[in-house]
Amino acid sequence: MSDIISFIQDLIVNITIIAWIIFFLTWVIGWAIRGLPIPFMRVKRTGEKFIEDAVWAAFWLAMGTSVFALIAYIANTFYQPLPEPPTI
Amino acid sequence: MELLVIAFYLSVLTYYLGVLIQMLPIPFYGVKKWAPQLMVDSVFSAILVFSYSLIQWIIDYLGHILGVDWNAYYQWFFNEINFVISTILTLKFIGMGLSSIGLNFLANSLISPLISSLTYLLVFLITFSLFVSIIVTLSPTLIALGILLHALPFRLARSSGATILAVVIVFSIGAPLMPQFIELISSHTSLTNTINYGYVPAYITVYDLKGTPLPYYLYEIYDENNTLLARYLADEKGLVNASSLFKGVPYNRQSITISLAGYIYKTIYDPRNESISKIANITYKLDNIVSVKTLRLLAFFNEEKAVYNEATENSVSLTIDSSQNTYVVLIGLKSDDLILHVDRVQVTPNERYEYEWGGVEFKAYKYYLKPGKHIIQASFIGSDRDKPYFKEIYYARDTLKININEPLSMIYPVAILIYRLFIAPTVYFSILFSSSLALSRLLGGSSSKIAHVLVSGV
Repeated sequence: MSDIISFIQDLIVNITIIAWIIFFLTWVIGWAIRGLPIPFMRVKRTGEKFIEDAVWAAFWLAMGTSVFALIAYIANTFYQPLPEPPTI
Repeated sequence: MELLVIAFYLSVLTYYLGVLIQMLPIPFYGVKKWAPQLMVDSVFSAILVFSYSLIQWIIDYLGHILGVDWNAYYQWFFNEINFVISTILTLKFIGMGLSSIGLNFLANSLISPLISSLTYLLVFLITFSLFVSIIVTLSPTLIALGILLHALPFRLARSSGATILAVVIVFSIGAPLMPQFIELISSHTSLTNTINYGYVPAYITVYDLKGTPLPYYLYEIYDENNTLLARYLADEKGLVNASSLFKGVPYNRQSITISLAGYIYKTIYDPRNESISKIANITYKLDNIVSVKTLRLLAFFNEEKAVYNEATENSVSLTIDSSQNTYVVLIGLKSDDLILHVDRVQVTPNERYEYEWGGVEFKAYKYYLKPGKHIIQASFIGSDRDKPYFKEIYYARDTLKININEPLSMIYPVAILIYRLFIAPTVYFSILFSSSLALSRLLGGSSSKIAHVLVSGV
């Protein structure tokens, strides 16, 4: 069991590292496409979309830990010692 | 719970996979649409992981509100199992009775299918209950497993996880309420409880102190509510032949009353404690009574030790030992002369009674004895012969209402059992299952198509 947990944890770390690398890659590619000296707006808009997605994704990547901490906090707040069920 | 830890890390993994996909520098919308979906799924799964205790609490809470009582459920279950088993045994003995009077074909064509149906019913009932008890015993593990499957990335096992969760929640709350449901929908069916007592053919003999069978005693069988189930009169040789198809005795705990000319003996008998292959042999030895000849008795009470010495045709001699006051009762026909010698001295009775029992007139003399050892000799002078008459109640014919000319009398109880223990639980099971599927859809599970196939089979 603990093997599986550490495997998943390693996977998460690797994915995080890859995600950061891809962020920079996407950011660079996005700007490159956007800055192309061509008059096709559709292609340029794709570059813009890449940059937008990458920035949002980077935001959520950075917020990841906080998101799960928040869930844990809210769930634990809800699960307070609850009242006894009423007897009919 | 390691399963929950794994589920949590899986949901974190799902989240980062979503983020990674959103970052990919590819312009394919089909791939990118997974990104927000994966992130939302992971948040939902994480919420479920942290709601593990809450889910268990909700099960307990709702169960308590609805009046779930597992003890009552298991009690009901074992009662019903016993009920079916005793009906099977009843049918078995009826089948054997039919074979013994040459009605083999009836046993094969009528009784065998009924026993088969009841056997299937038993298998169904036990399987159902096993399923329920497995779900309930393993519910913490199953909930964790459901959450784990739910948290797998890319919705690989999301539906199965949600279904497991929903089934555990719904069955833990709903299954123990099945007896109430069955009572509700089968309350109008009138099943006489008597079939519950079972049936077994029997020979009954009652012996006195010296080991002689008592003639003409009345053997009555009552249930625990003191309802008379059967009444048999022994023959002159002291045998009750209740081995024929229409007689028999209940295959259950029963109160027995043996009476003979005013003398009454009560006991409890349970044939389930004995191994009976074909016919039960029921014997009793009454240690405080001696039969001298037909319908002439000597009974003694409060004694500590009684030893039989000798007997002639008209008299009997005993040694009675006691540290307290005892009394001796001589019972004979009204026309008899009853004489008692205590320590070789003739004594006069302290009390005299005259009464009728079974259409025969009796008289009884009661003698008080002081503490100590006494040799008593009772003589009954008179040669009248008589025979008591009582209306007998045959257990199978009169109480169970078994009639081979009306097969319905045997089919109807089985049909009611099948209705109560197969059709009603199946309906209830379908209700629970469709509720589980509805709940699993709420938890992000199976589509309505799968639900439709599972419930209707089409």
